[in-house]
Amino acid sequence: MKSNRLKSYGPIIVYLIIFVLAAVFTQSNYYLSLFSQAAIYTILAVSLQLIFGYAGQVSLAQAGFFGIGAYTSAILTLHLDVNFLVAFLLSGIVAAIASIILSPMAKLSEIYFAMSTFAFNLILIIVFANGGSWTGGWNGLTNIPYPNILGWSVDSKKEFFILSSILLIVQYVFMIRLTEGRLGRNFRAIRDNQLAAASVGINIGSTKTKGFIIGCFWAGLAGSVMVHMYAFISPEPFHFLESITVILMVVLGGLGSFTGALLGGFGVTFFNEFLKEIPLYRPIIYGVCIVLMMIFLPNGIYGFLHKRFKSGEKQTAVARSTINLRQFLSQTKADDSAILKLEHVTKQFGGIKALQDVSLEVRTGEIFGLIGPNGAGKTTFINIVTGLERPTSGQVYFQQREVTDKTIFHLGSLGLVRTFQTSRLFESMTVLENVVTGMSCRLKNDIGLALLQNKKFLSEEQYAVNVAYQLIKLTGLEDKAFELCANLSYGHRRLAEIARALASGPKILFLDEPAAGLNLKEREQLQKLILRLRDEFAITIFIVEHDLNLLSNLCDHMAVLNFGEKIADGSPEEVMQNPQVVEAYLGRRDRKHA
Amino acid sequence: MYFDIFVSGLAVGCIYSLIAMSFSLIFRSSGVLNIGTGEFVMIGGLVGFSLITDGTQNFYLVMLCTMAIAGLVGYLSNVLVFHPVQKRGGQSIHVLIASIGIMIILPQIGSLIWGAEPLSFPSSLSAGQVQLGSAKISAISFSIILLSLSIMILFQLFFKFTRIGQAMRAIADDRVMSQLLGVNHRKYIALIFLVAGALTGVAGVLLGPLYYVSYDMGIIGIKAFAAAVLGGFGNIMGAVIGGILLGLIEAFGGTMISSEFRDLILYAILILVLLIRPAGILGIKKRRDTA
Amino acid sequence: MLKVEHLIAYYGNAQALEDISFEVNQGEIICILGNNGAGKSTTLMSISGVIRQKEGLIEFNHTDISKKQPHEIVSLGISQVPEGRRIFPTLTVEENLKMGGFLKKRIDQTKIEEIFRLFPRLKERRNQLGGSLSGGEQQMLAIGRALISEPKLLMLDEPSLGLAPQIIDMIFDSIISLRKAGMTILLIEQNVELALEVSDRAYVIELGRTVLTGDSETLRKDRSIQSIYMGQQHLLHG
Repeated sequence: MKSNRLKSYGPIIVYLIIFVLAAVFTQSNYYLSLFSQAAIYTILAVSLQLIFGYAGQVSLAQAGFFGIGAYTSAILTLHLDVNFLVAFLLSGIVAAIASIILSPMAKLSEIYFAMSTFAFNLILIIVFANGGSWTGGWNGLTNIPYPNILGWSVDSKKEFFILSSILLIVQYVFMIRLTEGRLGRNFRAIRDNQLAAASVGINIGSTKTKGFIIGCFWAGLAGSVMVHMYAFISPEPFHFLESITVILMVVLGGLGSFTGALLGGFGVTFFNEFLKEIPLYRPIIYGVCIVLMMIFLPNGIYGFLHKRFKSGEKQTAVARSTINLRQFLSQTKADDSAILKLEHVTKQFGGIKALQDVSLEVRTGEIFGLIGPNGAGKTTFINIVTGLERPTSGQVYFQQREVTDKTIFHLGSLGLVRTFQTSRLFESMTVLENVVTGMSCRLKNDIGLALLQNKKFLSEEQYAVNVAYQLIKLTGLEDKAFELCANLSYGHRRLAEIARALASGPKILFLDEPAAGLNLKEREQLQKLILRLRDEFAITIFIVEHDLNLLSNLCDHMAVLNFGEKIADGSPEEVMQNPQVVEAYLGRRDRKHA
Repeated sequence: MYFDIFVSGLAVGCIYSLIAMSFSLIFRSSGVLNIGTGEFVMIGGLVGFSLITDGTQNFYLVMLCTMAIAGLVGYLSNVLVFHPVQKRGGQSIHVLIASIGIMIILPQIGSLIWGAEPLSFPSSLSAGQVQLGSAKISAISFSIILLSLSIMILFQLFFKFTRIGQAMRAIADDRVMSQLLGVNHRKYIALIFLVAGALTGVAGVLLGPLYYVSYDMGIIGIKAFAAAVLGGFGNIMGAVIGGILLGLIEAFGGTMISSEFRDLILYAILILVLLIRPAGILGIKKRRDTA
Repeated sequence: MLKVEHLIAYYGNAQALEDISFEVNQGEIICILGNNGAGKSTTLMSISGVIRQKEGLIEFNHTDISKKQPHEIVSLGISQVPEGRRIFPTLTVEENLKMGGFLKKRIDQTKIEEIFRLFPRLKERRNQLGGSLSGGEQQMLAIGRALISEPKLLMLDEPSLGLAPQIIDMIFDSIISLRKAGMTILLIEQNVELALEVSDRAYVIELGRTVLTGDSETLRKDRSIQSIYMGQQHLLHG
């Protein structure tokens, strides 16, 4: 734990030391104001890191939100004589509220989101430039008062340097804490694999929106400090080209790490200052650097350093205490009712009918197998049931509730969880982190608790880690718990995915071809695991498989799909003897030689 | 009165359509969203300006030369930027950021060569009127509409009937399959960048007589992108329709509200379209994504 | 004609093929059998040059093609009908066929008529968009498209995928008639009985390795091959 702490807070401690030294020894106003400017832009970069590097949204409006904060603070203190502290807080809040306008865009793909923020930034500039006497138009506002914080009058370069540095340090600690709990994992999960995150019940839209709003809040605060430092405001510094500068800081520093944002924020500000000597070529050098970075160092400086000097993987303390998994996983009662029911489901793609009028019922607590040759419609079936696709006609019921139009994350949080044919893991996380992320909808800690890091937070996090470790043990992956998923073998990936699915506490677990690509030993392991899930924990299992034998050994009930239609339904013995099934699998025996 | 507005809106809309086509062409075939597309328009406009003021009398010749030069710039952007980024494993976000690089570099090169002042095309080009039935319309609008529509029709014919055009459509449909049939997709994608560059270059020349040309006119790319999204991003016909629609909205909107807020309305429409119907008017289903 | 020895291929970081070896002789139909995830399609994509991260020998008519680009490989006379057919949805049937002859520069209309004779259904729909065809029609179109280039070796990846029995029969009838016309065919098929019926020799691959080979007639009588598909045992470990 200690080394983790050091790793997270190390960079900001280094900054703190430099800051104190600079504050004590520097007398040069030039350097002090350059440092303040760098600190303010770094706050912007760190806030964008949350939005972009963590929540995976490319926002091209960070300078715009910075501007909203700046104008809010300027207008409040200059026109309305509001106290600085109030204006400061309000500028963050107004920026956050403005970001809510764009929050519906969070559901869009990253390119569309980027474009809408881009357009938003352009709109803001028009608004700033046409705000009449409130904003001062293109000429801007002057004589913005110096801040007075509870008697501390901030009116020299050195004091602004202290103010902006304190804000940066507070923000940095805020961000580190924020991203240590459930929310931070959800961010990274969404960034790594959105579909997989949704499958364990993480609400993609609302999680992304949270990141966006918090990021914009901090951008607003930074704007407030900046405008008071220069005592002047005009629309130029909030142009979208400045947004791009912030993007650049984040990408060049290294996406996905606050250390990277720190490096990028200071690095780019100083580099820019250096380029001021040659203003004519500045944009060209700038642009060329961006292109070169994207070609040669797409992971930024931090990513490069991290790769070179990779320290050992994070080890989280795992209490060996026995958590009662049965309590965590077991379903209340294994009555005989239908947990899942499909009625006349049809799905059509262009000229091809992938599913035709399929009806079936899965009973609580059984292992249900769906088989069929490749292309029979199995994948379409599982996609429809788990909310990835909508049927052309027909209904799906889960525990007597109609869920035909529910989305995957909603179904995931209801307890209908799936794995994928080509396993989808959160590649940048360890197996343990993957499984803990899977518990997202079973945990409660959110922004507030993560920032407080009180007893409740810590004990819930420890509980999550303990449960996750037990689940990993259940799947037999305990040796790999601290391994990065990107380094796992094929078979282990599939097991890790099952462990993660279990962590969300499923009522029914869909396994999409779990045995594909597994060797015999791994298959046996899988078979045992599936049986245990039913017998010990009463979880209903739905397996889609090509492998008839695996299913006939496991299943209580089977159905067979062939060219989109259900051709058989019954006990494994009945199904295996059905001549239509044999034909579908092996071809017709009576086929004459042509 | 309204007819005049309609014609000038249509003229600007046709120019948007040309640029939007370029966006869509590149995106569908190579997966690159080139935000810097508007800068090719700027190159086209400024090169066209130089050619005309240097005494090239034939406007068609100017158009052809500009197409060639802007095409070359498009081609180079792929060779020097997009291809290397993608080849080394860059994701769409890296490509997007690299295109921001282009967006920063090209205007500065433009301003180093042509200066920072806006430049006007000779007034002889923009004067004159054409009698159309009972109505008189400006000759320049008329020729812009005529020229750009014929360019668009030519391109459609090219895609429909030539071997190369069909290969480009095939790449856009399914890149891997086109490879399996022997299409050297790298060569053709490079060619698409060339064609797309030429399209935007011609848009720049056509825009010249209507407004003015300058190093920072690339911002028009944003409106054209809005047009492409409006029509359905990645769909060529959608780009044409979206462009014309946007031109008309802008023209009629400009008469009702002050021109300062006209752009604001445009950007707001872009956000709304993205929100309500991200697939656009002629939206197509997301195609199979492999390899 | 085609010789693959100790082929290893990677998909991103993961190794998809461990050790694949087989040979196809002039005029033969060879089939490759194996479970989902065994590496059948990866093998074909490696031969076609789409998968570039690979090691080992791939020889076609005594020239090494393992380093060649896909378009070069097509021009040597290897055509692939990939899994899922991959018809160009926004191109018409006729345009799809013309794309098949892309490397020929000038497409002989009689060649297209020949395909229409082989699959008359396509002629009726020549001006329809590829995306609007039914599964069976798409498969016919995909095979027709591959034939336009007059390949020396035709590789078919699961032609029966998702098709109704009578359509499968039709497709396989055309495969047999192609073979009679002297075409060399490499076939991947999940329908074991059917695959062994039309082929001369077969290879079984499992977890990226060739584990069994033999002539199809013998394998048909051998129950163990069927049990692989019914899933009763594994040759590699069982």
